Amino acid sequence: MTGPVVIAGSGAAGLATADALRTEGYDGAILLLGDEPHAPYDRPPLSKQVLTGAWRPDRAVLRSRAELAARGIDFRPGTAAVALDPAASTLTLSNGTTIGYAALVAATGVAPRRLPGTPAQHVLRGLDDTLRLRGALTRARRVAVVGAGFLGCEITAAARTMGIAVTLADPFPTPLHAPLGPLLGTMIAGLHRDRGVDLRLGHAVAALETVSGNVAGIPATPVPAAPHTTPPGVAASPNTDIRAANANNRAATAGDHPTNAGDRIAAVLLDDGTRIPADLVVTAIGCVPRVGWLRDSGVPLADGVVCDAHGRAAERVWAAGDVAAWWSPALGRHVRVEHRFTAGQHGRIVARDILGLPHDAAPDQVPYFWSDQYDLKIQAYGLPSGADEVRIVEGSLDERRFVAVYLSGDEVTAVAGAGMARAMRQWRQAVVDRRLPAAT
Amino acid sequence: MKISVDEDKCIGAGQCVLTAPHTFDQRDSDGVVILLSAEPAAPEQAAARTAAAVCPAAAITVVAG
Ligand SMILES: Cc1cc2nc3c(=O)[nH]c(=O)nc-3n(C[C@H](O)[C@H](O)[C@H](O)COP(=O)(O)OP(=O)(O)OC[C@H]3O[C@@H](n4cnc5c(N)ncnc54)[C@H](O)[C@@H]3O)c2cc1C
Ligand code: SF4
Repeated sequence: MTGPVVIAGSGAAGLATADALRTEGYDGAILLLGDEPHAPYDRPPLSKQVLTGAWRPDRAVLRSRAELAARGIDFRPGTAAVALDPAASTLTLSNGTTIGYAALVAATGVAPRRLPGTPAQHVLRGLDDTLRLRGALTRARRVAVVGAGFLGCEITAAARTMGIAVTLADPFPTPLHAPLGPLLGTMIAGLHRDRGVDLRLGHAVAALETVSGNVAGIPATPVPAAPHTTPPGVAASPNTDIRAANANNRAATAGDHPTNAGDRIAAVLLDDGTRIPADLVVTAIGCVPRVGWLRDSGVPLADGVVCDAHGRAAERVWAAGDVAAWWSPALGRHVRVEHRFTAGQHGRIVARDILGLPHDAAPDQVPYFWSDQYDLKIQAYGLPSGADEVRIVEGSLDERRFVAVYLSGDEVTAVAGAGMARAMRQWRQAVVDRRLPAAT
Repeated sequence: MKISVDEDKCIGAGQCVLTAPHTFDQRDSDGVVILLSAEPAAPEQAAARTAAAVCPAAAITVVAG
């Protein structure tokens, strides 16, 4: 291969690609671009240990600059990819230079959605967001969390752990309704109620009210209901809403606007007229792929970068991690998965594909996800959303120690559970086999 | 080759056990990793290295030598 492998995005997927290239024996140049100023770090601890202060931020670092240099990875923090020309095999960077590549990997992740046109709201995606939110939480008395997906539930748990009053609002009747379904969602609702969370379910946020009395209305559709029709972990087909959000991609993610300008928040108003007093609003209503820099490149984009089953999107162009919608032979459609495990898995497969190495027989490996809320650790193998039956096969929801199997017809699509790690690992096989074990 | 695990970072994903079952196990209660062998034998070393790469919590460190 002549010319470097250029990786845009230095998160989990970009780093895993760079690491795997070296592990597989590639000794050419690797350029790892990250628009953040930080060395590659892990995001899952942000809404858990870093937000509560249990970990100092540097515990979340995945690879220091010295370690990257020692592996011969040319890491360029604070440098964004801005435009790709696949015909010429060149990439233009935010510092104005244009570089050539032998292989390009898009690993630019996703950007959080916000409630449109409203004042002061926090989001949580990066380290800077986390430290900003942590600072605000230490001063807040009453927090409203908008969106009861995994992220919203974890932020709620972290804030309660810090002793702050929290209202958690979502238009669905239970938390985690789309990703895990109403049965587990009801259990999670109980978990949060036990910890004193004020749950406001079944109603969308209609407006935010500021201390100076301004009421900023929120269009009834498609925000904030729309993100929840798609499980936060798994995105569906493209829609206009996503495209509109993409247009704001740069502004929304530049990191220099923690909150929309404007005066401080006083309350969140729901569509049934309920007024929830709050001095801090955290919005956790899903994310959109960061593909603005690819828009005019001709690389296929729908909901993310459209790839084959090994992450190839175009001639010499691959995509990995949250931004990438890979073809799933098993499901017969493209899926974009926002899970930490998938980011690493993508990176390893892309590295082998770039180097022309043979792939494992089954590229369709089982996705894995976890979430920590208080002392409960929820884990899932497979994609639980959209199943038509959920069966508790071990333990019980009341004890919050269980394994649940998700079925579509008689096909097993996922297992989810808590407090039974070994049993979960055994039940994972049912997801691989896509059917229940013979004895059941 | 020397392996160490950070129990505090481990999130009990069990990917290490699936990848290198002779080197790693999990506590049943919370799924936290148990290191069965800090210096795995030659045939297990590749699997142990893969386990470090697949761990979604970056809890496994492999030092060559
Ligand atoms: C708070 C939080 C908690 C989470 N918890 C869990 C969990 O418990 N379990 C789980 O499985 N998953 C969890 N996830 C999801 C998991 O972290 C992601 O799936 C994973 O980070 C995806 O990695 P990535 O490399 O694709 O994207 P990212 O980690 O987002 O990395 C992309 C990087 O690219 C940079 N970038 C963007 N555009 C450009 C550009 N044009 N040029 C250069 N660089 C660019 C971004 O700034 C970013 O640094 C969590 C995510 C968050 C935010
Ligand atoms: S793969 Fe990592 S997180 Fe999972 S059990 Fe092993 S060490 Fe722990």
